[in-house]
Amino acid sequence: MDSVKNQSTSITNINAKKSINQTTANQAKELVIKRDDVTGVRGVNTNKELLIAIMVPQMDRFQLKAIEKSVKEELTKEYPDYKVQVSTDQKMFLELDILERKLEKGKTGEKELKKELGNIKSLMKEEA
Amino acid sequence: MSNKKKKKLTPVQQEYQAFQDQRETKRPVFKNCMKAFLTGGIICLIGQAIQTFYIYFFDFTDQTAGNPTVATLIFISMLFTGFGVYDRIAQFGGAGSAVPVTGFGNAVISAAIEHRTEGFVLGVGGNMFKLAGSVILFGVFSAFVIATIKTILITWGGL
Repeated sequence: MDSVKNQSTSITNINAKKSINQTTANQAKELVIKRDDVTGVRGVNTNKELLIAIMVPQMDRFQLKAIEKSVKEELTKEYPDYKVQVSTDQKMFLELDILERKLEKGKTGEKELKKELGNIKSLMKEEA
Repeated sequence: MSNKKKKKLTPVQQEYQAFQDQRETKRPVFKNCMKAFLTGGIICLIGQAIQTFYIYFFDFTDQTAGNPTVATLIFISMLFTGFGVYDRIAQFGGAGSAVPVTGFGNAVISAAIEHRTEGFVLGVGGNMFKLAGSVILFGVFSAFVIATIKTILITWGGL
């Protein structure tokens, strides 16, 4: 429904495009992938939040928590305007990957993006 | 047999002991270890596959996918025990099939099947947890103790 609406009214379209501008996420991804202990990064941002999922190779997984923390600190320093969330979870990586592809196709509106991000975040909060 | 006991034996007995040691078939410890390693490893590989399946196709994260994985593995091992397949695996793998969580399912179900002839209440119900009951009790009790220690540390120790 939303995407159809966005296409028909030009003003909403521009706004939607502005709000789902992914340059911050792209920059952050390039910054994080430079680390030796990170082999894969997926990330999405809204205008207030930045969600990043990282993949850590086998032997470095012993320092999983420490790596997660240091990546988060690095990104918070780089982007103080955003609320940064970093996860090493496989599920988060997967979901963000799907979301990124959706964004690339340009079919996802701002509302949809926020809803998806909310879903992902609530998934992360669950504990075993 | 310890050295102390050996000294008490008569010469004839000692002779026999030596003879017996010579004839006794040696246990293939290393081979058994390798078998157990492989069997346990394959069970864990299947478990990992199930876990990945739950992460990809359901709303489970790395943290929460463990519970349904364990449930599925126990269910599969229960079916295998009922069909008599797990006995064969255990004969080959030894500890490799008893240590993973599938061994726990096997312990419950095999006891239940064994005592089925004694009736459902006194037979199955009374004997089902003969082997695995101690495992459950130990797990619950140690969890209780650890939780108590943690609570005390957090509230009084300010961790």
